[in-house]
Amino acid sequence: MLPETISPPLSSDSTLPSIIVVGLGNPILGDDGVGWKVAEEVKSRLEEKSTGFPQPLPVEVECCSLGGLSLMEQLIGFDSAIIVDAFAVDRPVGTVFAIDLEELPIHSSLHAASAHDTSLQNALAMGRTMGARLPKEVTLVGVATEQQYEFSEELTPNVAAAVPQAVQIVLNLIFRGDTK
Amino acid sequence: MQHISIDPITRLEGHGKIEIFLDAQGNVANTYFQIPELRGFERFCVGRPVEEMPLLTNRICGVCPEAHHMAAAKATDAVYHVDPPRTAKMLRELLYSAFYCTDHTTHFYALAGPDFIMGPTAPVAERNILGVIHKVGLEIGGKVIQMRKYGHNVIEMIGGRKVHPCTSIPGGITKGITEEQRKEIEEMGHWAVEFAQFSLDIFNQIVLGNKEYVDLIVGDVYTHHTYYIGTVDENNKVNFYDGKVSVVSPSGKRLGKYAAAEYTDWIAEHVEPWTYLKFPYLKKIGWKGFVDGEDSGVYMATPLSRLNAADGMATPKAQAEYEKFYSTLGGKPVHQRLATHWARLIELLYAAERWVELVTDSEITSTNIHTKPTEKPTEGVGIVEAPRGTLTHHYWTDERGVVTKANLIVGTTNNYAPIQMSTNKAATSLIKNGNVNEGLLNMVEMAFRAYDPCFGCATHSLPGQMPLEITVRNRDGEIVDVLKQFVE
Repeated sequence: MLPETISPPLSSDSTLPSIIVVGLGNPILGDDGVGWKVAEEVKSRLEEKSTGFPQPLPVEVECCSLGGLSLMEQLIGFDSAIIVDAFAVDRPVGTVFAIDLEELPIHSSLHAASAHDTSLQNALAMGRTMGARLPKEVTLVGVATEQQYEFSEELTPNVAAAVPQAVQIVLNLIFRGDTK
Repeated sequence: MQHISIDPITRLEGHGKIEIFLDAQGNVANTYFQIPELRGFERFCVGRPVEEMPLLTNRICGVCPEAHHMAAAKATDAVYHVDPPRTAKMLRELLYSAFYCTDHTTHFYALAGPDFIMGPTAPVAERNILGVIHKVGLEIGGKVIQMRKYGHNVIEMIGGRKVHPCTSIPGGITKGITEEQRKEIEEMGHWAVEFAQFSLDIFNQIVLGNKEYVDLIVGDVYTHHTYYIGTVDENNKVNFYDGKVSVVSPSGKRLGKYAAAEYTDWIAEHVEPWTYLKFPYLKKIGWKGFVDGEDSGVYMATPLSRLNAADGMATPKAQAEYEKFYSTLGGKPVHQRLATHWARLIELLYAAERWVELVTDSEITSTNIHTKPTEKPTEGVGIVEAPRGTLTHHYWTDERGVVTKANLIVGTTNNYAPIQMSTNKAATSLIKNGNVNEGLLNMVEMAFRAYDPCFGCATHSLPGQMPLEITVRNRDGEIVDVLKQFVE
């Protein structure tokens, strides 16, 4: 018998906040860390008393460098998820956009996108098949960057300038959900 | 000359690209496996206090941060000339065993499993973890998630955080475990042992029970005769956390064993003009090109190499599987690269057994977990076995302990030459007269997937563009055909 303190893997705690904001990326790989910067700023804005946001907020903010199954596991128990990440796309660097995960042209909805794991879509499908309580809605807030191959803790100017807009989009998603 | 480019762009680890050049008859002339280099890490480290390195280096990579944390912790111990107390070492190794269980589980069920359980030529849409669940049963998915959860629980209890541990410092660890936590970890460890046995049973039934798969594993396409390295304990048994690195020849003869600080006597690096990444090779043998054999310094560092480089496993159930492995595959060393998947499951069982062994040690809850460094910091090397191969961290500091230079040889880098050889051999064997189809391409991908390569650590930029695109060009560089897999 496993000890009672270990909850079954697929159950969720009903007291958990219902929205999770995930800043995704690598904070020491230049613009790849933009998701972290946005999430950290969102967290500090939510905690500011002067903003007048109702407290306590049903929102949890996390920063991580995960994908696939590991990322899916972070989302268990939440009603909706907002994932902020750098996107290597054919748009001007610093462009900010929000899309549903289902719209993501990752072309890997049924393919192992990572050489070490599966894609997030695949992992979510697996989690749901297993009966996990996972967000019905997963929104991605993307900031267009170039692929990063240089270690740095700093964002490039165009990407840094996009942070306030991305933060506002995340806040709008949390409170109104009509930013796309 | 035709030119085929396989571009499996991935999220977590940057992207590798395979360029295949065909001759006029449509047969493979040569293959280049290219990996983009992440630049500037050494410069990034210089000027920082060395005790920050276990925290900093575990940010290099989103795939195996625990491995970097441990190699860095051991290197900083060495920089300060300090030997952590026994309990601190055991706690680090316990965390590391739990990490191995999560990492090897993910690889087998998300990656290797689909190729074997669904079949290497199954449609791509079915060749994934969902396909595995549908074919073998829902029970598997639940167990995979359970295994990962237990692993993360242990990592969090000892490492302070779920994924990026932060408790190892020069001379030991910042927190121990209570008796209550110990019991919890023990229960989870017993479950992990059962899970590892369950995984080996699946492998036995589905893979070893299918002649077609066995023929694929033992066939020549995926076979190379190279040197093997892997860390062993004082009894020459596989160890992931500590020991000396054993080096064995293609005929199974032990060339020697080296301690962390001696790595530069054994490993050198070869440069090719077509890639930024260097090719490590055995210094004592020398670089003779991308060739097999006793005279070629090419070596491999993977689960299969660790088994080949050791005399056995240090735990009873894993040892029994080790013996079965070699008796089934015709003795040591095993050169068939696809057997790496089987070796990985034997390591999973060892990691789970070691987890139980460590957590039931009478000193594991001791509070003697740190030796205070008293000597002046200088230079140090730390080596652990990352799931993907031997991981070496080497730091130099000034007398204040500020980093002046850093050098890392990561797991996959060790295997760069063998991966190059394996993809070339698979492509040459499988692509004939310009006949390239999806099944063949997956068979080529399988050649490098066995190594579980981690290309450049965490480049997380979405959307990852296209998982696979093959561009066929004529000798003038004009595109004559484009084959795509999951590309709209």
